[in-house]
Order: sequence, then C-alpha cells, then structure tokens
Amino acid sequence: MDPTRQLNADTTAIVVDSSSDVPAAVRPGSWRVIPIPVTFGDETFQDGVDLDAAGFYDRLERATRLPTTAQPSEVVVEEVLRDALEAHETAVVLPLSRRMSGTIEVVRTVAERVAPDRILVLESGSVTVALGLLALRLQAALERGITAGEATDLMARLSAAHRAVFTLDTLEFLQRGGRIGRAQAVAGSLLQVRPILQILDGEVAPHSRVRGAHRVLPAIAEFVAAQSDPAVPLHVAYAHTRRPEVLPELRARVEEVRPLAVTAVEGEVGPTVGAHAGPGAFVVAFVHDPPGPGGGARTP
Amino acid sequence: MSGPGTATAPPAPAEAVVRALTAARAALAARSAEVDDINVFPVADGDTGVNMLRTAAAVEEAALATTGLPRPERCAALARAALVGARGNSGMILSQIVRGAADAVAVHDGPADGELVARALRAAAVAAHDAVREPVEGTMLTVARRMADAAEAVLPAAPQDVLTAALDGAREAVLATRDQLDVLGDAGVVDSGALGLAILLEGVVAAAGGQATPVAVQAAPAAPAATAGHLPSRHRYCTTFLVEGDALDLAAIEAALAPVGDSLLVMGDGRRAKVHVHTDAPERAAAAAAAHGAVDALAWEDMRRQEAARAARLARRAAPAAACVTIAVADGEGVRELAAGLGATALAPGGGAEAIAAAIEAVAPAEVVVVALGPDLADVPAGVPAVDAGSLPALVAALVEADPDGAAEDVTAAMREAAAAVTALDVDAAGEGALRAALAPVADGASLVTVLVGAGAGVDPAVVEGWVRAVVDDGVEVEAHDGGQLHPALAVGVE
Repeated sequence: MDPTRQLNADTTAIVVDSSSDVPAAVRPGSWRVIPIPVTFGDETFQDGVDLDAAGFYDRLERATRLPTTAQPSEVVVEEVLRDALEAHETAVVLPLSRRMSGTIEVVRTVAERVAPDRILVLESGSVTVALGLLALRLQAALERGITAGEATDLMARLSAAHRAVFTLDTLEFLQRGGRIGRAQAVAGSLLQVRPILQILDGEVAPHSRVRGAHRVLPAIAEFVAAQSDPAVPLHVAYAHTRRPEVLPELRARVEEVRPLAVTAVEGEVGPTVGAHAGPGAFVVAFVHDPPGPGGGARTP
Repeated sequence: MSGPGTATAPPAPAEAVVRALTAARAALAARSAEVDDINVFPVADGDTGVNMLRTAAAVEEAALATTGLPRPERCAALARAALVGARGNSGMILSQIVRGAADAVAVHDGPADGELVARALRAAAVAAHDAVREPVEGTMLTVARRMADAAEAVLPAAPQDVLTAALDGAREAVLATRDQLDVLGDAGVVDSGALGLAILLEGVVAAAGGQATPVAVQAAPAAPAATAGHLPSRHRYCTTFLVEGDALDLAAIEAALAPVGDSLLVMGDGRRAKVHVHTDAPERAAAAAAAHGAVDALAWEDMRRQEAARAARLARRAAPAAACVTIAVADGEGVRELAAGLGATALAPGGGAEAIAAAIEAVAPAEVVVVALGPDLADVPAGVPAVDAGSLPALVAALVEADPDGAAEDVTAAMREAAAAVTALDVDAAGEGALRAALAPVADGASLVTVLVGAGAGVDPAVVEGWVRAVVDDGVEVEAHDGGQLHPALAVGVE
C-alpha cells in the first residue's frame, strides 16, 4: 500500500484474528476477525464461528487430550479480507505475533494476491487482549485520520512500547504447544509455585515466580508500576480464562498504582489462546500512547 | 536396593504357582522404572510400574503363605490379596485380572492343562473389563483380551505353549496401543499398564518353561515435552483403602466418593471393596466411605512428588545453561529435593569449603549465589554472595527467587528479602498439640504456611497439612512436604 494513502475510520477496516480476544461489544462494527482453527482430537472448529469461549472451556474440561491450534487456511483468510474490502476502501490487518504463529505469512500471501494496494499487513508482536489493545489504539488513530506510513510507524512503536503480564495455573498447556520458550525457567516443582510471565518481543518470556496465590496480584501490580509512567494516561486491557472473579480485584490493584489507567477491554480469553493458557490464567496488557503523528494525546 | 519388588525372600524349590508369581514380580521389578517413565494415561503421574509391582508383590506373598491349601481356598486368598494390595489405577485393574483368573482356576476340577490356562486368561480379561466403568481400548484391558484370544487360538496345546502364544498376543497388543490412544501416539510411547502386564506375563512364561523374548518398547520419552500432552492429576494424593461390610453397595460408595476427587475406582464384592481415588484429602475420602462400611488399610502416595521425580529424571539432559546458579546447602533429602525442583544445586551440610568450591567450579562460568544456614555459611568462599536463610522454610522461600537469568547481586537481594519475610517455628515434637501450640500465636494474618516434616517425625505430610488447616483460616494456603531434616521434627514457615 502506498504509504501516503490516507486512512480513516470510515474508509478503513481493521482485521484482527481470533487470538485478539476483543469482545464483540467493544469491537467497532467495521472490524473483521480471521478465525483460527482449534482442534480437539479429530474435530476442528473455527474460533468465534462454531466455537465460543464457553463451548471451548466446557470441551477442554472433558478432553483427554489437549487441543491444538493451527494457522488459518488461505481460503478462510481470503474470505475475511474480501469481506472487509467489500464495505471499505482499505484494510489494515493485525495478526498475532509472527513468533507465535505463521498466520501473518498466510495473510501476507493472500493480501498480495487479493489487493496489495488496499491491504496493509502489520506485525503486532502481540496476542490476546494485548493485541486487541493495540488494534483499539490503531482504531483511535484512524478516527483522527492518518496515512498508511504513519499507521505502520505507529504500530511499530505501540508494539515496542506495550507490555503484557500474565500468570497461568499450569505450564502444561504452553509446554504442549511448544510455546514455552525460556518460561521453563520459572516452572514449578513439588512446591505450588505460580509463574509470572510476560509477552516480550512477541514471545512468552519468564518474569518471575511466586509462592502462594496471595502474591500473584501484588506481583502483577508491581510489574505494571515498574513498566509504566504514573503521569500519563495508560490504556489497559484485562482478560482471564475461567476466572472472571479475579478481574475486579486485578483492575483495582492496577488502578491503585496507576490512577490514570483507562480500561479499554475486560473480557475472557477465547479458544485460540485458551488452548495454550489453560483455565485459571489471567493477563493485564497496557500501553501509553506514543508521541508523534497518530499517537494522540501525549506530547514529548 | 529395597522396595516392594525385592522385599520377598527368594523361595527355595517352590511349587509352580509361587514360581510363576515370583518370576512375574521379578520381571516387572527389573523394568518398573521404564514403565513409570512412559506413564501418560489416564493420568501422567509416573507411577504405573511401582503400583503394579506392589500389587504383584502382594499376590506373590499370598501365594507363598498359602502353599498346601486346597485350590479354591488358595485362589480366593490370591484374589483377596490382589484387591487388598492393589495400588493405583493400574494395580486396581491388575487385581481384577488376578481375581478373574483365580476364580476360573478355583472352579476348575480337571488337570492343569492348556485349556485351563486359556480359560483363566479369558476370565481375567472379562473381569478386568467389567470392573471398569468406562473401558478404554489401547490399555491393559486390550492386552488382557488379546492374551486370551491368542491363547484360545492355539488350543489344544500344552500349558507352556498356550502361555507363549498369549505372550505373543500381548506383545503385539502392547505395540498397537500406540495407535489406539492419541495421547500415546503423541508422546510416542506404548501404554504403561499394557507394558507392565506383558512384562508380568513374560515372567510367568519364563517360569513355565515357555519362550519369553522380552517385550521391547521402542523408546522411553526423550524429554518431558513428549508427555506434556496429557495433564497430570488435578489432585495430589493417589489414595487407596478397603471398605468392609456385610452387604456393601459399591455404586453407593462410588457416589459418596465422587465429590472428593477423581480417577475413582471402586472394585470388589458385597463384603470387601477396594477404593482408589485421586484426592487432596485422603482422610476425608476415607471418612466419606465410612458411612458404608469399615474402612481399613488407608494408604496414599504423593503424586506431585512422583511427577516431579519423573520430570527431573527426563529433564536432566535438557537444562539450558544458566547465567546465575543458586547453590543451596541444607539438611534433609526432602529439602534438597525441593531445592533442586526450584532450580538450585543442592548440597548436604557439613561438606566444608571444598564441597562448595567444587559445586561453584562445576557450574563455571555462571555467577553463583549460595543459600545456607548455620556453620556452612563460613565455608562459602570470599567474594561469593551468601544468603543466611536462618531456617529451612526461609531457605525454601528464598529459593523461589532463584533466577537463572538474573544478576547474582539482584538475586541475592531478592532472596534475603524473601527469607526475611518468613517467620520460622521449630516444633520439636511431631504431634498435633505441639504444632497447634506453636502455630496459634502467629496464625493470625498468615497467608501461607509451609511445613517441612523431619526425618524422625514419623508422620505423613498430608496428616500434618490437616493439622495446620485446623488451626489457620480457610483462605490460608498450606503445604507440607517431607523435609527429612534431622531437626526440628516439624520446621514451620509462616508467611
């Protein structure tokens, strides 16, 4: 796409994949979602199409074998992109981190074939509500109007600036999916140890580990405080897997250390990411608006 | 080496039943670790080999004790011993295989011929299958059936030829399990219970003078990731006990136990039932069954410990190089096991400056932090950061901060802070009263209580955990582990 091309909220549709976990109620009507395939045994579902979070976790509870995810097929991606372009002049696609999935490669291939001048594919370096949060910041920039070049630049800076911290009940799901990376270092043992993990450079990375459930939320709040600026508005997203009761306290803890926090998303992690997190996980993602064009309120 | 597999003295010229059962037990004893390591179904807890071995040992003991009894009485005794001695899921199913075979032999009044062998194998397969609520193919059940199929196919034949045929059938069936259960195929292993059963038969065949070539598995999983497709149990204790009465209702016992755990099996008859359940509260499970009959022989195994031991065994060669290694010097094998689980190099105390220097040398060029208590601190070389934990629970708390990617200076500071946050209590008598007296004054405001049970305490950590729970508020997390330290009897950490 021509970097000088003007994009705005009326002419441009954002396309995410189903790993972005933005609840339908928060998602602008112009957005489109690429469903990621989730497989249980010999049954494959399309996340968000024929499998929702409730159905997924019910199934997970009964499964004797862990579900797997795959990158979407070109056919499915093409359908979604064509649908986006039917009602819009241009589309900006934000798939999950290329270090976690080959989805972005599939999207690039299809975009090249379908309408390279009308589709902008950007690397998010993110996943779940952290990715959703970035997409919502891009949407805010579209509301004001930006060029394609500025959008690319904005996403690169958002991607580098955003942080996500999360905890899991068990590392089994990550291990099974081969997405554990160096997070193995915080793996538990005989003792009930909970890992505090982060998404760093588009990958899952260890942050620390704590003993005792009572230490988890303070550790997360401490992470947020250490990685953000109290004097600037902070966009925050929260999500959980089968732990809705934890969100109010999680949010209160974050708002206590960051009174300028603005909640952008609160929701449940869907099947795509749930397949790698398992039940009992929760995540906080946050980002300041970067300075400069498209960045919005913050001035250097 | 000691353990259930070697506890029984080798019998002098024994009669056929004892010889066969001894050989079966010995064959499995030689390979039980191999069976443990491939255990991924139905729960990846790494205990199939040991559980089957204990069950087999109980049957062998009963055979030794009943030589000379009339056949029906002896068969009944073997079936009872299998049920009473059964441990774990696989042991429970094995007990039904023994019962089925014993029942068939008991009612047989002809010669001990090939036909009897085939009939016993068939009865064994049917009994095992019928005892399981949801039979799954690609397990011991399949192998038991295939043994019977293969045995029947060669009739009429001499007993040892029937057994050899059954073993051939078993061998094929074991290899085929890989394709029958996805979780096995994913992990690249055969079913552990199936392999265990075939190994037992191998022993029997060898004793009977048949041809027994060992059942080979292609490979044990090379790394823990290979078995990670299947979740370990949600619960901590693999619990078994007996319920005895006049007219037991097995279904009612099962219903009463369903809420306290999972992997529930209730097997037996109206007078004696064996219960197997994975639960966090073994004694609560026993209490739930007590309304239905007299509970006896309550026993449990810590599955988390079994899983951790296996993970350590399988992971040993896959550890990435650390930038910062923590060396923990602590008394108690259990404490050192916990330390190793948290990524530390664990040393016994009293090894002197040389032992610590050697451990530091072994991990060079990594930075090192030493965590210790008491006189061992004096043996830490100058210039190496040392953390004085002050107590064993504080040492464990400090080790949670061990960070292989951290800088020694930061890790040291975090460890000191973590150790300082622990209030340590030394309870010198391993009794509920003593523990309660020590804990009560500090229980208020606690959020995590850790107890390391000393070597001479003579009490199970699960029991100690119950004592602590009785004192502290509901929301408090409690963990008790075998510490194995010389003193105190109970090392308590309150955070």
